Amino acid sequence: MKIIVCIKQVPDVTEVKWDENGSLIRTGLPSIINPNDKNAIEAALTLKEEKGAEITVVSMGPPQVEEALREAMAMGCDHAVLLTDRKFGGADCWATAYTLGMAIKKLGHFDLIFSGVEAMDGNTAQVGPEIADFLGLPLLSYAEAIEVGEGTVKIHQKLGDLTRVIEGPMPALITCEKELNVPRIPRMDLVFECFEKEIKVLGMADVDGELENFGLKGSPTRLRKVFSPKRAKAQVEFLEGTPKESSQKLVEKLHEINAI
Amino acid sequence: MDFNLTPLNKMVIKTARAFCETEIPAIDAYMKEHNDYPPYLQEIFAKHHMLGMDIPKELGGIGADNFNLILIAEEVGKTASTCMLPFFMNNSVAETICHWGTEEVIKKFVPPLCDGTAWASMAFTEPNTGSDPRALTLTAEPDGDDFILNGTKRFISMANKPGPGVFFAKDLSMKGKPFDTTAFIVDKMSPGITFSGHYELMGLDGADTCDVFFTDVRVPKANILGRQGKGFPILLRWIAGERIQQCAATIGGGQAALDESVKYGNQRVVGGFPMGYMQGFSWMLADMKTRVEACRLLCYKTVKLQDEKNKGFEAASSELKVLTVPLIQEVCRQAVQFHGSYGYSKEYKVEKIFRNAMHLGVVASSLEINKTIAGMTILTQK
Amino acid sequence: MTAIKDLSAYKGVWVFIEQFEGKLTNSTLSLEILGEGRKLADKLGTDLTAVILGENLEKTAGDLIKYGANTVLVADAPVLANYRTELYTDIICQAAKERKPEILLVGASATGRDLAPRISFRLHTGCTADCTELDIDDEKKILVSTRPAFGGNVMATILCPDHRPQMSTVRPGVMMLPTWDEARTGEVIKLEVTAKEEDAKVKILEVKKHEASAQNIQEAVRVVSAGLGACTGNCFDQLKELAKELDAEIGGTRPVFETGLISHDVQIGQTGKTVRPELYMAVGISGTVQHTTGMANSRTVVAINKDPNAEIFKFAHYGIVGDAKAVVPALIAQLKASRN
Repeated sequence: MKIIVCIKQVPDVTEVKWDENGSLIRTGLPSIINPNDKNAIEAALTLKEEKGAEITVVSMGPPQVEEALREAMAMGCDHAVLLTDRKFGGADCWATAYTLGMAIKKLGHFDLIFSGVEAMDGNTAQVGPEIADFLGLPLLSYAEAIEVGEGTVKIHQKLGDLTRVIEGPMPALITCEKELNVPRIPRMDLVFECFEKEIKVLGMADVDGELENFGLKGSPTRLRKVFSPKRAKAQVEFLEGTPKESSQKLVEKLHEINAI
Repeated sequence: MDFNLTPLNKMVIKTARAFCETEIPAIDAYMKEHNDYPPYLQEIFAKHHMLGMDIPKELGGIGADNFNLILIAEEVGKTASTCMLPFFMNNSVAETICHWGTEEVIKKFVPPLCDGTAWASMAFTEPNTGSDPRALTLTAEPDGDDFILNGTKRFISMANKPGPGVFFAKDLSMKGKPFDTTAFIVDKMSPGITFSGHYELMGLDGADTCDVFFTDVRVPKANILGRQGKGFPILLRWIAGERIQQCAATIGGGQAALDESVKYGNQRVVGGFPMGYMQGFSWMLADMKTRVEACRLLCYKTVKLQDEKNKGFEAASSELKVLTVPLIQEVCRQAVQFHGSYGYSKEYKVEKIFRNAMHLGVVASSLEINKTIAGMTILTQK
Repeated sequence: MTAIKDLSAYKGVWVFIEQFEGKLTNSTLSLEILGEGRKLADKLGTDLTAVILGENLEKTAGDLIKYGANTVLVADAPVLANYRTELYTDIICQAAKERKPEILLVGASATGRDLAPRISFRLHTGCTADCTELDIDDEKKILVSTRPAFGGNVMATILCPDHRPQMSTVRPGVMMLPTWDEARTGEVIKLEVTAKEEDAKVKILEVKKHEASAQNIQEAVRVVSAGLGACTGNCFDQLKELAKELDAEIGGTRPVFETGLISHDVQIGQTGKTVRPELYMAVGISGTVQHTTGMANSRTVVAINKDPNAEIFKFAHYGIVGDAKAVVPALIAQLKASRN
């Protein structure tokens, strides 16, 4: 079985810091493999262990994404492909899905594509479904469990307040939830091995496609502005005293305003 | 000269950190409850392929080097978990056997140390000696294809766990020769071996250090490591590597003590602003940081010598210890002081780090012995 | 794929309506975006169209008119009873190609977030995910979508100037519900459904509703919310007891979700849910912007935190400075006492 895993390197936004003016400090954030994408990697590795599989991990981004790809190989993925080109820059979801889709077509036969449900920096959850549409694949999204059968794949899908068991033919694209598994940490011997492996680097010329569909040019959406969220203000009334006294005051206040 | 870590080094550190976060809390919880290592501890290290770092792949090792091993040591040291000892021991004993052993010995003893099915020990110390080979009283008497060992070893870590230990004994067949110390690889579960209970140590909570009693223990001649009468250089070489690893772990402890202090200095508010910004405390942080950094750089340099197979690394490892012991012990003391009464409380990590740091000064050759080694080397070399 | 479109041919605002077993889903999200769609359509001086796919939709389709739609496009067939990405995408894309809407809104529910990107890719248009604010640019008459980005640390305003329809998915709980008007009239148009069960690549083998009450956090009247400051020792258990006393749902911040104490369904903030309860009790929450934008519109906010300078107090109506471990049990005791 051949599996492709699409991953994204993201700034660790849980480590975000603010300067004294309340502005976001974007520089110096550690780069990590997007957490949901690690679930996707783990799903592929689990299948590799159970049924045997060859795993290719694919990512688009600047050259430093190499680090994320090597980490994926240190977790156990077999091959890595880096899509990097200045012309890929500024891509929105559509252009990203187009680029990844074109590259995947170049990689030849595959049985499954895994991706995370969403990236922690953008939280759009769009690229996975878009790649599925581009490649005309059945989309099995929000997987909390995966079972591969003979030519078919079944998932437990967490669809809002429903859990569904759905099944589609392979090849298919599966987006992976946090609940699917606990991603392993890289294995120390593979850490050393992954630096001996070659990463296949593809630029725009290598994936073919139409120039106007890549990068900023190929992105239907345009960013108008970025701003810090407004903060609503309330005038706080502090209820003082011992925990008992302050609690008593609070209960009285809440009764007064009919909140309880 | 390049002071930068390579991308590989950085990933080793990141992976070691992830290992510490995922595996060590449960290991420490087990050790707190049972006052001993989990019986499957080496298997955990093996599962993550962290044993046999400097051992060729065909023997089950990683085929890496000591530099990357000490990067891991530093991370494990930051956790202040005692599980670092068995981790170092399997790595360093496997490397020692590989260096000195016959092909037969290597094939027999090294793979189990890499796959985590065996626990290594290294045993020189006895009730009446810690560093002097002439004072050894564990005797080895030849008998056919075997030697018969009798006597006592003291303060031996992982002695009561299954696996091979390298035991240094007075070789009675070498009587009258200038050097009569022979290193034997002993299956610690052999008939005739018994153990005392664990020593209660100042730090290294949960460690299984004990005495080992030999009564007519048969060890095949094939299990001699290196040559008869040439045991002491094996010890010296091993202990030099071990020293670097323990220094690295202790430097990690110093870094953790600093990190804890920085955190505390930012959190704890005195007179309306964070305590760390008071000059008295910020100066302390400056002292701590520079001390940790100085020790770390010397540690990196020393392990580079080891990886270059430079014989000078043995003396250099002593110099490393001469620097590291007082400096990091002081860093850890400062961290306790920085925390005030909380630093003296077991609720705070610096208390444990401080107790652990004390061990570096006295275990695996004391600070003073290392000063002697380093000093004598300076005098005798030009 | 890249032919330049004649944008002037695109008219009208479409809203995708989710159904379950022929009725509107429990979540009010579809109605919220219908209400928002009405506003946008009025601003543009154009029609609002609701699009609904499923089985036995006659009554629901009629209701959508009373809620403000001028037109309802209905695809009614057994094969559509359960949501399926490919079938739904095919039908909506076909209709959009024929009828050319200028805006298509989809709820940012699990279903919507699955469906919208597939539609947008096929129609080669932009889709702004998880919007919290929509508007029409007065001059250019195009959709202006605002969404949290960078893990909720900043807001981004996004346009889709040259492609149609302009698509956005909309976060639950941020738009106002439309008013029901019995007098409204409109047209229900049936879309032809040619797809058969055997055309569907993906089969649905089982559908189960979650038993978890956690789903209701957005509809909860009262919410007790945990920060990391309320997670040490047995404090979180006490918080659950407090929630029970208050008849409140329990939620929390992202770091608390990371610890595994709460599920993502009840994580409140930019990367989780937006809530607007009558009473919001923040315990051990420092009040980072990532969290507060998810709760700032609550009617009454109570904050309990040991740091008197914590940001959360800027959002609170009542504040108690103290350790959650001490305050929460005292509060439980007071609530019990006040009932007797």
